[in-house]
Amino acid sequence: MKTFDETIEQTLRQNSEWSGSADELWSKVSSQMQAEPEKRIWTRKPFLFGAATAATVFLAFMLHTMITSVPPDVPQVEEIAPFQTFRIMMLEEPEVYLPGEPVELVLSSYPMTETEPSQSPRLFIWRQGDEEKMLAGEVLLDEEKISGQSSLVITSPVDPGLYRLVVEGSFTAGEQRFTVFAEKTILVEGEISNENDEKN
Amino acid sequence: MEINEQELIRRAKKGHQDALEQIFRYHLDSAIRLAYLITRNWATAEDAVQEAFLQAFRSLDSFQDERPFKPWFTKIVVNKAKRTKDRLDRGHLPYDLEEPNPHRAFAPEEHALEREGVDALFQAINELDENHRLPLLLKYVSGLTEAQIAETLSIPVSRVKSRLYVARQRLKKHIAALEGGGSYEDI
Repeated sequence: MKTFDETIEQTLRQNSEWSGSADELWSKVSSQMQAEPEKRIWTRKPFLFGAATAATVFLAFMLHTMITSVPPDVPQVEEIAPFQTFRIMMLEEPEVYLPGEPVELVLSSYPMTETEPSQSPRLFIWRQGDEEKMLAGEVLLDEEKISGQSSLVITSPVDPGLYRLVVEGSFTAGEQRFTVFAEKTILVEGEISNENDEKN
Repeated sequence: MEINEQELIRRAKKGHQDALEQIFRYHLDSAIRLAYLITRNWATAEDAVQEAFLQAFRSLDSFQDERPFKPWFTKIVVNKAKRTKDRLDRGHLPYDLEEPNPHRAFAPEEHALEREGVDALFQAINELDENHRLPLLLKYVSGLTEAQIAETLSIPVSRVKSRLYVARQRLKKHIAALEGGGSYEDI
């Protein structure tokens, strides 16, 4: 006689027989691995690209304003940027993740001008509370891991909630210094439903 | 994975296609079964598994070689399957809900009675709420340990044990009611 464990296992096995083709699925996965990530930003997330472009234009405008109207020895960009970018990008629909799941951030980089402040790249983790946002974490990133990369993979926060992830800073590639930037809004899921159910 | 998983992961991180393909083929069966049992639709299950492999392979650099791959990957599969199921439930995907499994096959010699029992048990499993069904699927389909299930669902091991216990009790009650008193031995 079968044990209950064996019966459950058999039942689930008999009701999940897949007749698809592993070769076909592998060819889809491998071809997408080769095609992306360059393609993905243009085709699957046009809104993200638009937002990144808008952010770049905004930064360029800020730089231009600084150069033309502010004395060059007192640049204040780093104090303003996190708040402004956070507010702008909260309009984007958050992507949903489980706690501790890998999150991919698409990095944008461009050559720095001489007036831009050079600072080590950092990941800022903003958490959106009921009424206000707060800085939940700040991580110094290794320049070598950022340099020349199109994306950065991090682990989602453990506590459920709405987060804004922002990467800002600069790195050196060859003899040129580059500014790097990335941002993404994510929703970290909590437990699904009520715990009282277990006590029944 | 009986073959040297760590070595395979190391090679995959360096971009070796054959290593990626071996990982894919080794984990495909349990991943697709799990995704189907969560979404109840083959097309969305295939989409979810495809997305899960892509995300896992792109995130391999962040994966620590010394840890087992399966719980980490299963967590991604669960998340992708739940997400595609949500989209399906909201009518955002052009597939039918609760698609019957056309691939299910019983051996010819199998008793009609046993088939009825399997159908009843499967129905009972599907009637469990998600908190109790998911740990059950992770144990019996993915073959994860209780500690690995806890890590995958981000809950304490004690809660996994309690949910598995409650789920099994409910299944036993359901089957006993259908069979008019017959019961499985407690394990």
